[in-house]
Amino acid sequence: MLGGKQMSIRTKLVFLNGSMLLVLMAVLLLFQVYMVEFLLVLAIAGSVFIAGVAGSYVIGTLITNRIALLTTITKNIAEGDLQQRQLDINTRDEVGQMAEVLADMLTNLGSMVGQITETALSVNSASSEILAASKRQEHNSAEQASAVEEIQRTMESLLASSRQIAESTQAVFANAEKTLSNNRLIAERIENLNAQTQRITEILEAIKDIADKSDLLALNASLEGTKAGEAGRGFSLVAAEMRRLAEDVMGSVKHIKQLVGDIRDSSHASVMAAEEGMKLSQHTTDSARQISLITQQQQSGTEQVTQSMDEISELLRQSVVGSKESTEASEELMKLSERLRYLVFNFKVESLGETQVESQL
Amino acid sequence: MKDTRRAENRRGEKESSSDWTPESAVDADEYPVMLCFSLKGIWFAMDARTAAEIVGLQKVTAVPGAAPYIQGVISLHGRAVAVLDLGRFLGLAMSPTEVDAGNQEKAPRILVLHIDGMTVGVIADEVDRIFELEPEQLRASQVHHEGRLGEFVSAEFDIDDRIVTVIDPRKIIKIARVM
Repeated sequence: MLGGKQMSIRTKLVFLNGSMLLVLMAVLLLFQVYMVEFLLVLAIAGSVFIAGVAGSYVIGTLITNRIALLTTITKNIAEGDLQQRQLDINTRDEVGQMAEVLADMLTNLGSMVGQITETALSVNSASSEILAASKRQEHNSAEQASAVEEIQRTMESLLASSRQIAESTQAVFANAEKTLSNNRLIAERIENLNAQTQRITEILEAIKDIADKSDLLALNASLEGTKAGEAGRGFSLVAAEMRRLAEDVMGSVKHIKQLVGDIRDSSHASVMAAEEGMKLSQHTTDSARQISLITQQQQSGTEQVTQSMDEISELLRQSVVGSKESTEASEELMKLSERLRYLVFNFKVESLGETQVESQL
Repeated sequence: MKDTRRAENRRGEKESSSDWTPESAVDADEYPVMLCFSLKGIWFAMDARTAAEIVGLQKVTAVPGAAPYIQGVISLHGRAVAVLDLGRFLGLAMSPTEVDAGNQEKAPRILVLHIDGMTVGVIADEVDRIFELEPEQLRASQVHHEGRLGEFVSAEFDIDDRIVTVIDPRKIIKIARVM
């Protein structure tokens, strides 16, 4: 193909020279007679001309060959072959400069493609690492989310327990209050009972006094009966009966006194018990109040934890979404880097050690 | 102990005494009526007709310069009546049983005796009863009594498992007035 081109150029040159020769011959024939001297001049001119033609042929052939070489190289570049090779053109003319620039371009392109390939490989491996990392993160986030859910459930049950405790404490509180008022009532009633017992004791003293006086009266009556002699006998007997009655009353008074003493002891013990009960109720009330306070604090604490857990849960959810997006993005990145590598592999660069393109020269 | 001793004395009395009669112990013209009382743990009895009345215990006002057995005076129906400390007069000491018996409720009385136109009060720890005594129940007492008690004992008798010593108030008043 290259040889064909050379031939056609040469034919064109031959045709040009031949036509110029014919014109010159005709001119020579016309003016041979008149211009013999002039013929000589012409002969010199003709030889010069021939020499010029030959020289141009040689020079033309030289230029054409080098341009063809450059064309071949450019064509290879267009096909992606960037392999470095020696451009055997060291002339200082335009073609030589062109070859030089082309060589520079080849060198630069080759190194650029090499760098791109290396970068693409790096991106590929980095994106696969990112993918693995984001998948791990996704997994971790899911685990954390389930742990947080567990905590939330626990907190819910804790909150429910706290509420129950608060209700129970309220009931205890009410009961203690009721017990306190009951005990107070009991103490008051026992105080009343004591006052009544005191009154009974006073009445008993009065009865005892009356019985004593009755005894004395009966004694004196008996004495009088004795002085009356036979007539006073019956009188004395009645008086003796009266004394016995008075003594019976005395005995009864004594018995009642003992019973009143027992009642007083019992009521004293009851008052003590009621006071003890009041103290205990007071303690219960205090304790219930304390429990109520603590439960409230616990409840608010639990609520805060629940709120924090909700926030953490939301953040984790976002984190899971982010991880998924990150995974997708890194997958996309990997695909892109794969594609980039594939594209870059179309170039044949020396550093990549790919197949060499054979030189036409 | 005392009871046993007295029981022995009683047997002795049945064997030996011959000059003692119930009539000599109390005035026999009427039924013997006894005023029975306790003092310092000893049960005494005396002729009830010598007692004018029995009054409740009341405040005894001490009389300076009087005999040691005069406890003081009480006001009775607007008159001052001397009170004789019979226990002291007879030289009685409080027996241990009496100390224990002190816990029991008693009704101390003042026996107002009216003898030979003279009125004297005697404090008794407790008045038991006034009753008619069958003369057969009386017997002579040959027990040796403590202190001066023996001088005034005329007889003794049993009642409700107790030995009651019969004393002569007239003799007591007579002696007390002399002293």
